[in-house]
Amino acid sequence: MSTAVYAYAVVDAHRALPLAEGIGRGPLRLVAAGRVAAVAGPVEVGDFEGDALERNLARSGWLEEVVRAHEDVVEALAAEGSVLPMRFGSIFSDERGLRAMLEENAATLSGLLDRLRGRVELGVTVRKTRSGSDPDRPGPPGSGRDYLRRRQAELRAAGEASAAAGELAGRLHAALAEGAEEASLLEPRRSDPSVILTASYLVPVGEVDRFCERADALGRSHPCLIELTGPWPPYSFASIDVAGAHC
Amino acid sequence: MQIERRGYNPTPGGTGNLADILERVLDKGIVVAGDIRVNLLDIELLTIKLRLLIASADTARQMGIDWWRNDPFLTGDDRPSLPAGSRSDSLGSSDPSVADRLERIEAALEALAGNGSSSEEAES
Repeated sequence: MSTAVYAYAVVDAHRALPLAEGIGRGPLRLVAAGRVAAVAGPVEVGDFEGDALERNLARSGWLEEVVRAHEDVVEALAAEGSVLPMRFGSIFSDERGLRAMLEENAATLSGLLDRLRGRVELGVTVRKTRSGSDPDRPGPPGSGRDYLRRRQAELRAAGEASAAAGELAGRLHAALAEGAEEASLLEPRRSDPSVILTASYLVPVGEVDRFCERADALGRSHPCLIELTGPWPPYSFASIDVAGAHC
Repeated sequence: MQIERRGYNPTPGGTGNLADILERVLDKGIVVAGDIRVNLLDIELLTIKLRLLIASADTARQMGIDWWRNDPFLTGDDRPSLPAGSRSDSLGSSDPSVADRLERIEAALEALAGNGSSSEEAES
């Protein structure tokens, strides 16, 4: 059993910690380097490696528990200031390595903290609603040829519908992006064929209501259902790669 | 927590939907390369596995791999089972090829999921 340092997020140095504990009830602390600091806590490194990781992933509830613990820390920080979430599973051998990473990237990190200050991420999921009438399901075909012909027609209709959905998604994304400072397409984790767009928008806190009204209006004037989630910490707009320390 | 969840449709106020959280926590945020204890390979593996765990069944359905399960022609009450070759005249070659494809895809998913320690390796 050995512990390592799990980094949850990067924030302005000298902030108060809004939460006491993170994953596995590990006590949180600030690891500062100049103007920035990481919010970090101890984890059992064995839980995230090799066979133990496999067993953990196989155990239902483990992933949800640790992901929610990560999210809780980031959310609590976001409620009180600018925050750059770290990717889930950012684990350092020791505090020295974490501090060295902060020092090496201090300018980038503090620039991004300033850029995202006072802004939130709003999530949008667009589902298409059934347009027109679906033809009734035909009865069993009489022959193999009938069957193949029907499959072909079904596939062609599906292709046309998906092209139309793609076009609609593009139009909605452009219209939503107009009401935001930045936009980012998400890879949808939900495999729901009715979902045609999953995206995030960076919006100043004061303009959240206006963005919601815009989304609402778009939903009413298009054959789709627009779901909004958030405000989120700006996960999608803090997606940068930084160098680790080589010490 | 002072952040308010604004759910327009199914997402009620309060904590976020797990899928929404996973989309962000697992895929977004600052990525560090270099002196990091759990190396990137493990992290890649972790997220690939998570993806598989969460989405594999639904994805298969979405990809149309099991379309025949919903096809009345193939699953009608009068034709409950579909033993290999028994209906080859009306089906042509589509059934065996789909079965082959499914097998290949499943083998690929398994290879992706296993990190080399998988006991049954799908031979090609």
